Amino acid sequence: MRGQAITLDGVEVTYPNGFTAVHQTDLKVEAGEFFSILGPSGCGKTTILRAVSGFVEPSRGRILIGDEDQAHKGPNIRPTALIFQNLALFPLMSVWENVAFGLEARGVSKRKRKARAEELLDLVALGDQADKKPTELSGGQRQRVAIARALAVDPAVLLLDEPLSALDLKLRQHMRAELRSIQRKTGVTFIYITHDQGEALTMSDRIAVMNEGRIEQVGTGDEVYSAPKTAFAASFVGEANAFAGRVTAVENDMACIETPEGKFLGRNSASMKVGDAAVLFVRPEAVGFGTAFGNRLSARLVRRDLEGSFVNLLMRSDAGAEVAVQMPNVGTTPGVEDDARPIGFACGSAIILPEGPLARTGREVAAE
Amino acid sequence: MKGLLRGYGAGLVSVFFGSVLLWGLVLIILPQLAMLERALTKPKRQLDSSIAAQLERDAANCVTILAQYTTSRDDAPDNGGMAVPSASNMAVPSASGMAVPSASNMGVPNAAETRPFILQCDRTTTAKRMVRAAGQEVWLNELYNLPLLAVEQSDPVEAQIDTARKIEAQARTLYGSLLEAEANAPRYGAGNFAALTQPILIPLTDAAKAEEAAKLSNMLMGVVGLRFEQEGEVYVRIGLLTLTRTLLFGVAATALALLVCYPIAFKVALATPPERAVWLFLGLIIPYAIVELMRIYAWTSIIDNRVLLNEALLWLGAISEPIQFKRSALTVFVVIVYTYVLFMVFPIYNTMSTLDRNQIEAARDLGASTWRLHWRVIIPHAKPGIAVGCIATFMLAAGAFSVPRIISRGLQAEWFSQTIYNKFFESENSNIGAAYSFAYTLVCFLIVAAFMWIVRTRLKDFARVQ
Amino acid sequence: MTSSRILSVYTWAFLAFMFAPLILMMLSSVNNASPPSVTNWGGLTSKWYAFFWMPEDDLRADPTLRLLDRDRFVSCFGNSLTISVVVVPLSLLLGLAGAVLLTRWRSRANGLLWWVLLSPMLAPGVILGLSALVFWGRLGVNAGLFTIMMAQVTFIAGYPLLILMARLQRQPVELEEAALDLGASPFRVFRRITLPFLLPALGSAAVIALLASMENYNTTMFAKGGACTFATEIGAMGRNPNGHPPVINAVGTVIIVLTVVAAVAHSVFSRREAG
Repeated sequence: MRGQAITLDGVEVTYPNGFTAVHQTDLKVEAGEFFSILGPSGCGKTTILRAVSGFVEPSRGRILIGDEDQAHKGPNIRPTALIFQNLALFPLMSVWENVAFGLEARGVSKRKRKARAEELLDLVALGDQADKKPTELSGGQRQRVAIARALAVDPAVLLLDEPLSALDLKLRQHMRAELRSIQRKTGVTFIYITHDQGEALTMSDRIAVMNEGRIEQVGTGDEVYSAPKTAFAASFVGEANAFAGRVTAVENDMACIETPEGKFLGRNSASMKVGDAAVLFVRPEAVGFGTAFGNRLSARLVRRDLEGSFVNLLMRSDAGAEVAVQMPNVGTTPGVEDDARPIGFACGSAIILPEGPLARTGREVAAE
Repeated sequence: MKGLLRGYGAGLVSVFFGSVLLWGLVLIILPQLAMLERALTKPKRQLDSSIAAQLERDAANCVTILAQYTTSRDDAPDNGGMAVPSASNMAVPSASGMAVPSASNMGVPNAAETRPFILQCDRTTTAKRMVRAAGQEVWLNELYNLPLLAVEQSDPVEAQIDTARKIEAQARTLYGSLLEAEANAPRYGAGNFAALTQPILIPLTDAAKAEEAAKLSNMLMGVVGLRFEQEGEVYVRIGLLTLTRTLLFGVAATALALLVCYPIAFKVALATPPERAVWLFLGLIIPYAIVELMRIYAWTSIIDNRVLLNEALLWLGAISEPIQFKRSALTVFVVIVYTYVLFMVFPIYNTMSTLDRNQIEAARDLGASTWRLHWRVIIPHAKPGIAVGCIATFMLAAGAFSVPRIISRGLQAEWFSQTIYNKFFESENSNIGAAYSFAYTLVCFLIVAAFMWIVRTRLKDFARVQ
Repeated sequence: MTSSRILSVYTWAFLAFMFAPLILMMLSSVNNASPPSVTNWGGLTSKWYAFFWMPEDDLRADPTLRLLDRDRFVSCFGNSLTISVVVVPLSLLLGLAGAVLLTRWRSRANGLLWWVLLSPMLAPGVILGLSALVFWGRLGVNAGLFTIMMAQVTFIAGYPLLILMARLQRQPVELEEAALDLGASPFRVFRRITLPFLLPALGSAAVIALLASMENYNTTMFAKGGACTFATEIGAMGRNPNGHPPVINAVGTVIIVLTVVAAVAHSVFSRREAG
């Protein structure tokens, strides 16, 4: 079966305890697309996944796969396959039995099952591990068994619930490429759930950014990163310096915002009007030293963190705001000193968005 | 419910619910309700109508015997006097049911106005004492306004027969009306439960009384009302006393088991390298797995009159006569501790062994003393296991039946479960046994619930530590 | 150092306390003296064991053994087997059903169900026997093997319940969900995923239920009516004021030896599997 489109039509999920995990949501995932849902934990992205796979019945709205309404269809009837965060490989079955389980449930003969399982294991480069138990495999191998098992039932949609989160960094990066290539080869629609923006940006055709049960923005990786539509999307996807204030002037597609740090100019993609409460966002890599910028301020260097190929600098402006600066590590970055120095950023690299909830910073998360 | 149906399907879910319903309702709840009903049912024997019926039967028998007596006296004067015992003489030993010729009348057949003692006639009087709570004196004739009639031995036999007939008639009418009234009266009452608190009289000589009164245990019993003196007689609430004694022994056995077991659990779970702990664990598992009765019988080889312990003490010269260990409550106590002590070890061991040994190292590293290490790190971690072990041991010790039955062989005061057994199977009123049993269930549950509340344990801990 | 030495000594003392009566029991089972004794040595004998197979005439010749009813003992043992044949599978079924509902049923009734199903384990055994007797008596069933079975199942089902529940809680729900998601019917999920996962736990629960049923005395005594089981018969033999016949010690010795062999074998096997 080729990949099919998924349509969420006004879907809302309220749990029996009264908590609404997903507010009225419309979403269209195209057939054969690699689609990611990106959001912090507890934002409702897993609930959407479970609603599509059939473990949760939406309290309102419809879910369509292809053109077919999935209401009252159990997970064993829907053309979806789910890859769980902990993979949920059956510990007592061998690798090939795991892969062939979906076929077994469909009454396929043992000979055919085994042949199909071996075919799929070859696809994920595990052809020689068929008779081992899942516990004897490495993390990456188990990952690939889970993918093969899900593909064995020839699903129209593959749903992935943060399956890479337990792997270490190098393996994770490798598996991203592998997942992407399997998706291209099979043409199955992938819906990938993650809280890791790096995963979402590298693999996906399109991304939905989610917060508190609502989808904030849907777009390609570039759109979401460079042209966020909400304060949350701007602050959650990638790092961003935020300056809150009020719009004082609007001209063409630019706006001027007055903040405690001074007046800044930025793109007005959200069509803000004079007097609106607004936040200006600018990426750390867009901030630089010197005076050759449309927006300027003066700040002292507080901390310098070496990341390897680049350096993170934490600055404190004269008005007291923290400003993150990121620059390539070419041996010329400044050391910590007391003197204030001019920094700034180009007007075109800044974006002015309506005031709204921001993604929590690391410090806020740690304080919980 | 939806999730359950989706996960297991309607067929399996209905099997599960059916099984649990069978278990919960048919095996657990309904039997307890049946017990409660039985406990609340008034026993037939105590009803007033049964006393009227008894009187009617006695009167009728008296008439028959007297009639026989007159004929036999006329026919064969010397041979008279033996009355036929009535078959309906409930609860009366048959020997005393025999009308025995009174000695003074022997050989005086012609004394027409006298007759031998006849139990049934002696009992044929409207002044019958009714079955009421202790201390209450209620009489049949006063209660139901009957004339005071009695078959007097000094009357002429014909007059006696006449009186007996009158009484019989009175009793029959009364029985009929009482039966009707009782059929409409409630069948249930709390009387069986009241039996638990009923005092019984302990016949004592004055000297013995003084000696008994000086005992600390008796003074304590007096303070809580289990023992009291009234009009110079000593009364003891024997049912409550046995219950209290059993519960106290249960608590003591639990406390002792906890003291004994905590170091053992600690040793096996945390203070031994794992590869050696396996063998220690085996040493605990083996006596635990051996049939309970055998563990009890094993002790009889130690405490019986002419065996190990007594022989050893005799040989050492510490005693000159064998000690009757099985008469001692302490022996039962020790064997109970021996038999159930391992039910304390395993829950504690199971929770302790989940403690990360690094935590102990960390606490030591931070300078904690042994005492503080246990108090602040190990005991809080093992708390659910300790609580479950205490509950399990207490229930087994307080509910012990096999140990006192086999060890004491009836030679000492009862454990409460024996009281229940005796009341139910060996007394006239098994409903009292049901009441005892139900009350015991309630008391045990209250104790366990209170204990769980005090130590903040939840029932779910049971699943975790077993 | 010293405190750990004290702990070691204490542990050995405890083990000695646990094992001494058992060893005495074994010793007295080969001593030709009744009641059983280790101090009054009457010579080595195997007759307390041979009781179970010696010819009828030899049996009559022995002053102690002739008082015992061998046929009754054997038939009581048979009763125990009959009871356990019903009690063990029924307990496993009830325990499994209870474990599934308690771990997987999200409902407000869950807390109540905990109390109801665990209450027999918190109640004194004698009460369970008595209430089964009264309840079934009310329904017109006379006390006997049936009431013993019902009374035993009431609390023995609690052991599989706890064992299976611990196991079910360790099985991630995702395993069942994954199988369902791959298109298996709920019944197939249960048969292929849940049941194989529970199988070792079911095995040990069955052994524990069997032992509990065979050795149960307190509950059985109250529910038995005129029937007898292995345990009640052993108990009845001990009600002799002159001390029990050493045949009991012989039976006990056999049980002890079997237990030791089983326990050692089990731990050796599980070590080998782990290692």
